[in-house]
Amino acid sequence: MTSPAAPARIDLVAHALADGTRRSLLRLVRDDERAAGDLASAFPQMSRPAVSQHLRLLQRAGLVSVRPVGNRRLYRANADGLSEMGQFIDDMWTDRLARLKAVAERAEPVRPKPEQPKRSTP
Amino acid sequence: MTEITTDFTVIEQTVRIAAAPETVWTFWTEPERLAEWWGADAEVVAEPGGLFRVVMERGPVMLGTFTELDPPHRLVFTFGWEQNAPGEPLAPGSTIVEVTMTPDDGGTLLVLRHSEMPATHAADHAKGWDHYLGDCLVAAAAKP
Repeated sequence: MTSPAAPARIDLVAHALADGTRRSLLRLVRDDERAAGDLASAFPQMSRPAVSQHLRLLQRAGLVSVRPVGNRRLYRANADGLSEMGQFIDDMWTDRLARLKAVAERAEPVRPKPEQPKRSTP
Repeated sequence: MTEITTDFTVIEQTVRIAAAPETVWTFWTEPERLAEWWGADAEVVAEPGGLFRVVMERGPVMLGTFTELDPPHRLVFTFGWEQNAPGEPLAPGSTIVEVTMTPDDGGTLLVLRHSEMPATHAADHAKGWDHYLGDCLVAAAAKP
Protein backbone atom coordinates (compact mmCIF):
# COMPACT_ATOMS: atom_id res chain seq x y z
CA MET A 1 0.00 0.00 0.00
CA THR A 2 2.65 2.45 1.01
CA SER A 3 5.47 3.05 -1.35
CA PRO A 4 8.63 4.21 0.39
CA ALA A 5 9.78 5.55 -2.96
CA ALA A 6 6.78 7.84 -3.25
CA PRO A 7 8.47 11.10 -2.29
CA ALA A 8 11.25 10.43 -4.77
CA ARG A 9 8.65 9.83 -7.47
CA ILE A 10 6.89 13.06 -6.63
CA ASP A 11 10.22 14.77 -6.82
CA LEU A 12 10.82 13.36 -10.29
CA VAL A 13 7.47 14.63 -11.53
CA ALA A 14 7.91 18.02 -9.94
CA HIS A 15 11.40 18.33 -11.34
CA ALA A 16 10.28 17.20 -14.79
CA LEU A 17 7.60 19.87 -14.90
CA ALA A 18 9.77 22.62 -13.51
CA ASP A 19 11.31 23.30 -16.91
CA GLY A 20 9.80 25.22 -19.80
CA THR A 21 11.31 22.99 -22.49
CA ARG A 22 9.92 19.87 -20.90
CA ARG A 23 6.50 21.45 -20.55
CA SER A 24 6.62 22.33 -24.25
CA LEU A 25 7.62 18.78 -25.11
CA LEU A 26 4.70 17.46 -23.10
CA ARG A 27 2.37 19.77 -24.97
CA LEU A 28 3.69 18.43 -28.28
CA VAL A 29 2.99 14.82 -27.37
CA ARG A 30 -0.30 15.44 -25.63
CA ASP A 31 -2.51 14.48 -28.54
CA ASP A 32 -0.17 12.77 -30.93
CA GLU A 33 2.55 10.27 -30.73
CA ARG A 34 5.68 11.87 -32.11
CA ALA A 35 9.14 10.67 -33.01
CA ALA A 36 12.16 11.88 -31.10
CA GLY A 37 13.54 13.40 -34.30
CA ASP A 38 10.36 15.42 -34.86
CA LEU A 39 10.46 16.68 -31.36
CA ALA A 40 14.10 17.65 -31.62
CA SER A 41 13.41 19.66 -34.77
CA ALA A 42 10.84 21.67 -32.82
CA PHE A 43 13.73 23.02 -30.78
CA PRO A 44 16.23 24.17 -33.40
CA GLN A 45 18.18 26.18 -30.87
CA MET A 46 18.85 23.07 -28.83
CA SER A 47 21.13 20.15 -29.50
CA ARG A 48 19.51 16.82 -30.16
CA PRO A 49 21.16 15.14 -27.16
CA ALA A 50 19.81 17.94 -24.98
CA VAL A 51 16.27 17.27 -26.22
CA SER A 52 16.79 13.54 -25.68
CA GLN A 53 17.88 14.26 -22.14
CA HIS A 54 14.66 16.20 -21.50
CA LEU A 55 12.63 13.33 -22.95
CA ARG A 56 14.43 10.86 -20.72
CA LEU A 57 13.58 12.94 -17.66
CA LEU A 58 9.93 13.05 -18.68
CA GLN A 59 9.95 9.32 -19.23
CA ARG A 60 11.59 8.61 -15.88
CA ALA A 61 8.91 10.69 -14.19
CA GLY A 62 6.25 8.60 -15.91
CA LEU A 63 4.88 11.59 -17.80
CA VAL A 64 5.54 10.20 -21.26
CA SER A 65 5.75 6.70 -22.61
CA VAL A 66 7.88 5.65 -25.48
CA ARG A 67 7.71 2.81 -27.96
CA PRO A 68 10.28 1.90 -30.57
CA VAL A 69 9.05 1.49 -34.12
CA GLY A 70 11.78 0.42 -36.47
CA ASN A 71 14.67 2.70 -35.73
CA ARG A 72 12.46 5.48 -34.40
CA ARG A 73 11.33 6.15 -30.87
CA LEU A 74 7.78 7.42 -30.56
CA TYR A 75 6.76 9.48 -27.57
CA ARG A 76 3.35 10.13 -26.18
CA ALA A 77 2.07 11.79 -23.01
CA ASN A 78 1.05 9.35 -20.35
CA ALA A 79 -2.44 10.14 -19.13
CA ASP A 80 -1.83 8.61 -15.72
CA GLY A 81 1.42 10.38 -15.11
CA LEU A 82 0.07 13.48 -13.45
CA SER A 83 -3.00 12.14 -11.74
CA GLU A 84 -0.72 9.73 -9.94
CA MET A 85 0.87 12.61 -8.15
CA GLY A 86 -2.13 13.01 -5.86
CA GLN A 87 -1.89 9.31 -5.14
CA PHE A 88 1.70 9.69 -4.09
CA ILE A 89 0.85 12.48 -1.69
CA ASP A 90 -1.84 10.21 -0.28
CA ASP A 91 0.70 7.41 0.14
CA MET A 92 3.14 9.79 1.74
CA TRP A 93 0.63 10.77 4.40
CA THR A 94 -0.38 7.16 5.03
CA ASP A 95 3.25 6.29 5.57
CA ARG A 96 4.12 9.32 7.69
CA LEU A 97 1.01 9.27 9.88
CA ALA A 98 1.72 5.62 10.71
CA ARG A 99 5.17 6.72 11.83
CA LEU A 100 3.73 9.64 13.79
CA LYS A 101 1.41 7.23 15.58
CA ALA A 102 4.31 4.93 16.42
CA VAL A 103 6.63 7.62 17.76
CA ALA A 104 3.92 9.49 19.69
CA GLU A 105 2.74 6.30 21.36
CA ARG A 106 6.29 5.37 22.23
CA ALA A 107 6.99 8.80 23.69
CA GLU A 108 4.06 9.15 26.00
CA PRO A 109 1.68 6.28 25.71
CA VAL A 110 -1.74 6.47 27.20
CA ARG A 111 -1.88 3.52 29.48
CA PRO A 112 -5.07 1.66 30.10
CA LYS A 113 -6.60 2.84 33.30
CA PRO A 114 -5.10 0.78 36.12
CA GLU A 115 -7.55 -1.24 38.08
CA GLN A 116 -8.65 0.51 41.18
CA PRO A 117 -6.57 -0.88 44.00
CA LYS A 118 -8.63 -2.70 46.53
CA ARG A 119 -9.31 -0.36 49.31
CA SER A 120 -7.81 -1.69 52.42
CA THR A 121 -9.67 -0.68 55.44
CA PRO A 122 -7.42 0.46 58.17
CA MET B 1 -7.55 12.80 -27.31
CA THR B 2 -5.66 11.92 -24.24
CA GLU B 3 -7.25 13.79 -21.43
CA ILE B 4 -4.65 14.58 -18.86
CA THR B 5 -6.11 15.72 -15.65
CA THR B 6 -4.16 16.64 -12.63
CA ASP B 7 -6.88 16.17 -10.10
CA PHE B 8 -5.50 16.38 -6.67
CA THR B 9 -8.96 16.15 -5.12
CA VAL B 10 -8.86 16.26 -1.38
CA ILE B 11 -6.88 13.82 0.64
CA GLU B 12 -8.30 13.03 4.03
CA GLN B 13 -6.81 10.56 6.44
CA THR B 14 -7.70 9.63 9.98
CA VAL B 15 -5.52 7.93 12.54
CA ARG B 16 -6.12 6.99 16.15
CA ILE B 17 -3.14 7.55 18.38
CA ALA B 18 -2.82 6.22 21.91
CA ALA B 19 -1.23 9.42 23.17
CA ALA B 20 -2.83 12.65 24.35
CA PRO B 21 -3.39 15.51 21.89
CA GLU B 22 -0.86 17.52 23.90
CA THR B 23 1.76 14.89 23.12
CA VAL B 24 0.85 14.55 19.45
CA TRP B 25 0.93 18.32 19.11
CA THR B 26 4.59 18.43 20.07
CA PHE B 27 5.40 16.06 17.21
CA TRP B 28 4.16 18.75 14.81
CA THR B 29 5.83 21.72 16.42
CA GLU B 30 9.17 20.53 17.84
CA PRO B 31 11.86 20.02 15.18
CA GLU B 32 13.52 17.06 16.93
CA ARG B 33 10.19 15.32 17.20
CA LEU B 34 9.19 16.09 13.60
CA ALA B 35 12.46 14.52 12.52
CA GLU B 36 11.35 11.28 14.17
CA TRP B 37 8.50 10.75 11.73
CA TRP B 38 8.33 13.14 8.82
CA GLY B 39 11.72 14.28 7.66
CA ALA B 40 15.37 14.13 8.43
CA ASP B 41 15.44 17.75 9.47
CA ALA B 42 12.85 20.37 10.28
CA GLU B 43 12.59 24.09 10.94
CA VAL B 44 9.52 25.26 12.76
CA VAL B 45 8.33 28.67 13.81
CA ALA B 46 5.08 27.64 15.44
CA GLU B 47 3.10 30.85 15.07
CA PRO B 48 0.77 32.18 12.38
CA GLY B 49 2.92 33.22 9.44
CA GLY B 50 5.79 31.17 10.80
CA LEU B 51 8.11 29.04 8.72
CA PHE B 52 7.54 25.30 8.43
CA ARG B 53 10.25 23.46 6.53
CA VAL B 54 10.83 19.73 6.48
CA VAL B 55 13.68 18.04 4.67
CA MET B 56 12.52 14.57 3.72
CA GLU B 57 14.95 11.70 3.42
CA ARG B 58 15.60 10.87 -0.22
CA GLY B 59 12.85 13.27 -1.08
CA PRO B 60 11.91 16.84 -1.68
CA VAL B 61 11.91 19.62 0.85
CA MET B 62 8.50 20.66 2.12
CA LEU B 63 8.24 24.40 2.49
CA GLY B 64 5.22 25.84 4.19
CA THR B 65 3.84 28.56 6.37
CA PHE B 66 1.63 28.13 9.38
CA THR B 67 -1.70 29.85 9.02
CA GLU B 68 -3.51 28.67 12.15
CA LEU B 69 -2.40 27.17 15.43
CA ASP B 70 -4.78 26.24 18.18
CA PRO B 71 -2.77 24.03 20.50
CA PRO B 72 -3.28 21.17 20.97
CA HIS B 73 -6.30 20.81 18.70
CA ARG B 74 -5.77 22.27 15.32
CA LEU B 75 -2.98 23.41 13.04
CA VAL B 76 -3.09 24.55 9.44
CA PHE B 77 -0.15 25.13 7.13
CA THR B 78 0.53 25.67 3.47
CA PHE B 79 2.39 22.86 1.76
CA GLY B 80 4.65 22.83 -1.29
CA TRP B 81 7.97 21.56 -2.55
CA GLU B 82 10.67 24.11 -1.98
CA GLN B 83 12.34 23.73 -5.38
CA ASN B 84 9.16 24.29 -7.36
CA ALA B 85 8.79 27.70 -8.90
CA PRO B 86 5.60 29.69 -8.35
CA GLY B 87 2.94 28.22 -10.57
CA GLU B 88 4.49 24.77 -10.75
CA PRO B 89 2.57 21.84 -9.32
CA LEU B 90 2.90 21.75 -5.55
CA ALA B 91 4.78 25.00 -5.46
CA PRO B 92 5.04 26.51 -1.99
CA GLY B 93 1.74 28.06 -1.01
CA SER B 94 -0.31 26.08 -3.51
CA THR B 95 -1.85 23.49 -1.20
CA ILE B 96 -2.96 23.47 2.39
CA VAL B 97 -2.88 20.89 5.16
CA GLU B 98 -5.31 21.03 8.06
CA VAL B 99 -4.69 18.79 11.04
CA THR B 100 -7.22 18.39 13.81
CA MET B 101 -6.59 16.46 16.99
CA THR B 102 -9.56 15.51 19.11
CA PRO B 103 -9.35 13.80 22.51
CA ASP B 104 -10.52 10.24 22.05
CA ASP B 105 -10.77 7.99 25.07
CA GLY B 106 -7.54 9.31 26.53
CA GLY B 107 -5.85 9.20 23.15
CA THR B 108 -6.16 11.30 20.03
CA LEU B 109 -8.23 11.11 16.91
CA LEU B 110 -6.15 12.86 14.27
CA VAL B 111 -7.70 13.94 11.00
CA LEU B 112 -5.46 15.28 8.26
CA ARG B 113 -6.93 17.02 5.27
CA HIS B 114 -4.73 18.06 2.36
CA SER B 115 -6.30 20.17 -0.36
CA GLU B 116 -5.71 22.96 -2.78
CA MET B 117 -5.62 26.48 -1.53
CA PRO B 118 -9.15 27.87 -1.69
CA ALA B 119 -7.90 30.95 -3.50
CA THR B 120 -6.82 28.90 -6.49
CA HIS B 121 -9.61 26.37 -6.36
CA ALA B 122 -12.06 28.35 -8.42
CA ALA B 123 -9.65 28.35 -11.31
CA ASP B 124 -9.71 24.57 -11.44
CA HIS B 125 -12.71 24.63 -13.70
CA ALA B 126 -10.40 25.91 -16.35
CA LYS B 127 -8.21 22.89 -15.89
CA GLY B 128 -6.53 21.65 -18.97
CA TRP B 129 -3.19 20.77 -20.29
CA ASP B 130 -2.37 24.16 -21.79
CA HIS B 131 -3.66 25.87 -18.74
CA TYR B 132 -1.51 23.60 -16.66
CA LEU B 133 1.58 23.91 -18.76
CA GLY B 134 1.28 27.53 -19.70
CA ASP B 135 3.58 30.20 -18.51
CA CYS B 136 1.09 31.80 -16.19
CA LEU B 137 0.52 28.84 -13.96
CA VAL B 138 -0.80 30.29 -10.78
CA ALA B 139 -4.09 28.47 -10.96
CA ALA B 140 -2.50 25.26 -12.10
CA ALA B 141 -0.42 25.11 -8.99
CA ALA B 142 -3.53 23.89 -7.24
CA LYS B 143 -3.55 20.79 -9.39
CA PRO B 144 -0.37 18.88 -8.76
